Amino acid sequence: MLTSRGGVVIVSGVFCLAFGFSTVNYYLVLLGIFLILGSVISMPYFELAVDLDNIEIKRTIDKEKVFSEDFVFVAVSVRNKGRLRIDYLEVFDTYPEIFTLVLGKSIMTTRLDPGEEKVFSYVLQCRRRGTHKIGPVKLVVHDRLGLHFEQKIFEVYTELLIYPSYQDIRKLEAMGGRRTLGRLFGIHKTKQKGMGTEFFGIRNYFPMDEYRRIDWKATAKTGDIMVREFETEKNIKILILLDTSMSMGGGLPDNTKLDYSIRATVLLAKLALERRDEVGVAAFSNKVHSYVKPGMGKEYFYKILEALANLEPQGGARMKEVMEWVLKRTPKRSFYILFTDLEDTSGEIIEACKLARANKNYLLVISPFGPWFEAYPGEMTPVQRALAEAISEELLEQRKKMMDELVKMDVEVIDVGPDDFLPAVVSQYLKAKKKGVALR
Amino acid sequence: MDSTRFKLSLRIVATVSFLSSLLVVLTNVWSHVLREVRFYDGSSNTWYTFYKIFEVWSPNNFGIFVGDLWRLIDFIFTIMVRELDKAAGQIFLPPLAQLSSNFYENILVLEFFAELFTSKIWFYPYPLSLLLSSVQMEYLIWPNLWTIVLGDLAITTLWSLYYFLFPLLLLVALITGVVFIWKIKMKYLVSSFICLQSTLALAALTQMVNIGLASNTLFFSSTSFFIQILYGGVTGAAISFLTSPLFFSALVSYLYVEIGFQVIYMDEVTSPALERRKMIEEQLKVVEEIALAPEELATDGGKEASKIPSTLSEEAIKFLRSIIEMKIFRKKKVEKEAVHDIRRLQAYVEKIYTEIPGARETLTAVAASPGFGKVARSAIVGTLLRVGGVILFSFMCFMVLLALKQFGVPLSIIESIEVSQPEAVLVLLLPIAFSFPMAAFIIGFVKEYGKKQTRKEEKSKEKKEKKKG
Repeated sequence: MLTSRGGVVIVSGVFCLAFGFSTVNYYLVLLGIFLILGSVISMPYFELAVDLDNIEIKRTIDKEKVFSEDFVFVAVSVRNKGRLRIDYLEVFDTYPEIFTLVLGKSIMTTRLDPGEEKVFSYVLQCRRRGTHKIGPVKLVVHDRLGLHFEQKIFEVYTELLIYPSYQDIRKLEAMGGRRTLGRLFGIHKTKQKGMGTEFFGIRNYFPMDEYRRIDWKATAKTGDIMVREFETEKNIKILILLDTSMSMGGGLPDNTKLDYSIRATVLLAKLALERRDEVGVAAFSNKVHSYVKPGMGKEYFYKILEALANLEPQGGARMKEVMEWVLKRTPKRSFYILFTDLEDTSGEIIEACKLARANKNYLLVISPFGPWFEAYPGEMTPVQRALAEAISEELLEQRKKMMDELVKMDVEVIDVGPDDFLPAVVSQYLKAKKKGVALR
Repeated sequence: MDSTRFKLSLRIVATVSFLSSLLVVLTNVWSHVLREVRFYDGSSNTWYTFYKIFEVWSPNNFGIFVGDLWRLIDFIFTIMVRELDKAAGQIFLPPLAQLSSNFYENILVLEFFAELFTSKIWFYPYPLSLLLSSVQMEYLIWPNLWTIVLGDLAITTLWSLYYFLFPLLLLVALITGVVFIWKIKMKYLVSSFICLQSTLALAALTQMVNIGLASNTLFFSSTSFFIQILYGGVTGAAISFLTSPLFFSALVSYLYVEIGFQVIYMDEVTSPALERRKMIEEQLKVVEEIALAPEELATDGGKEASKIPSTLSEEAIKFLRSIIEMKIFRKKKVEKEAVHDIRRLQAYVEKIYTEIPGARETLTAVAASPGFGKVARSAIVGTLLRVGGVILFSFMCFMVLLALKQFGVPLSIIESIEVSQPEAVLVLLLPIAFSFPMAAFIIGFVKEYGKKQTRKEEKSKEKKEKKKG
């Protein structure tokens, strides 16, 4: 195909020719002929040399699963499998708009000899969780003078799973979270003696007792062999219920109620797993979108991350049906943490909570309050602020009624905004653990 | 050869081709720009020759030129306003003009001052008594102006404009040519080429230029050009064709485009990789600089978060700002987060450099840059082949009469005035020019057909194997 450059040359040639004819000027006639022939003479060779099917394109990335805001190294290799040289090759690798190119370029201009392979790379930053595809690759081949071109789009895609952001956990770790929150056994204790580390009392030695438990000081004092006893530390099962209905999508881009809830879920899961609690997740709207049964271990954290990665706000919340579904699959006496904005007025939330409580589960509702996520009060005009306050008051009233109902069922409800979301969730979890909730 | 030397050689090549083309044009249109003045000095009994810039440039004549132009614009404008006003009452006039009952008079006062100014500065050629001062005078003078403006004045103005275009086009060609040499960009090459050739076309418009005609009248005069080829034989015609100044001039002009394109190609193929390398090295330097920035930027304590420390370089501040803008929705502590991001990026880059072999080379795309020597060699060979082909086929286009003779066309037609006109080249130019796209189309078709056949064979093989399986 002729490029715009080729078109300009041909038009100039025709113009020279026409002007030469009309003024009987052989110079212009000859120049016109030169230009016209010069723009078409290499066409057959170009057609012969360029065969885009002979070009092989491969893309590799350094990791297929990354956390949001992490970096990905993308390398693209182009190989000429043909027998003729490609003089002018442009390679454009495309990536979704939500990615940011932080280093390098996703474009390469080069020349490829037969059998030659060339590689270029770039670094992307992924900003939104979910499954994303890098690709396709667009290839444009020109002749040397850029008069003709051919292009092809290679449907080469690389899938990348982006987990929710790990930033909050990093911050927590940086603050010495590991040490302060205790990596081994938790704060929670039972009044059952066992294999823990918290001192319970001293008693006489019985055969089969471990020698290492002998308290030599007490033995020396009493004259009998005495052993120390410790409290048993017991871990609990936590199920995080995440409401992904449409209303949870409210808020600023990338900072919606759902985004905050997911960040809180990640943080909570990490904390709980480090404290050897069993953690599971159920994300739902009008149906259960993903469910991870409570479990322990590092791989569980990644299972939870994968379950959270592709969540999008959609549909309404059929909480009662969902709760029935979940209760069938989750052990009783679990600690349920429900993230919902309580904007469903059908009363299903109350029903669902009743069901959960009936199964002897402990229930904590973390409720992001919509208006606090829409805009920062400082950025509003007085009129907007007045309107927001009116809406907030109405919503608050509605929520208060619902909360009263829930409190009657011994369900704790916490109102959160973007600023106190994560700290509130962490402190509620720690508080619940101290209280010794959901113990069997 | 390093990149700087390579670019310098590209610029030298571009300069040589541009100057050659400029020289060809200048030698042919020089008489339109400069006028030769000869005078005899009786005391020393010698003739002196010197060149004077064409009359249009002398202050007096330029004054006339400006005056003519002013009168023309004035005339068109006044007629336009009057006719519009007539046609649509006062709707078209601005509110201020509608308020004033003597709208024309206001315009005429303005005209008066403008004309007075031009007459003082540019030796206005018309007596001041003719200057317009009232509506009555305007209407009185309009019929005379009509004939004056559209008569001699219009012709004078046109000629002034015509001669004015030569130096103007040459100046633009010179400027764009220099910019092309410096930047090596397509648009400058095309504009300088068009400007250069436009001067020749403009000269040809008035039959004031006919390149090579003086020294090669026999070959390129319209009546005998084809005849000579017809009776002089191919070899003789080729020698005459290739040695004629006209061919040389056209070839030099064409070579400017051809070499210009080749230079652009060489630059476009080699530069991006070099620029990319430079850009990434700068980016990394900036990343490192920000990563080592004072701690108060990265922590909450100390300065306000909205203040970027002035100790950073301009590039670093720009880079940091761009990262901050990406996080625009996170209103709080964005600078702090941006710096953290950059620090993580630095750590990540260090990690990939150690973990992924060749990461640095692929990131900077050093390997993607083709060798300068290779590119230059293929460009030279390619240019020679292309130009050789173009000359050969162009010569073939001029062999019209020979071709007609070979086809057995009657001599009365071959020797007719119509056939001896330059348009006759179309007889061969069109088939020759169209044969190339046609050949390309056939090649493409055969290739596609071959691929289809291979795919069919592969499918049938697969089917057979499946059946066997």
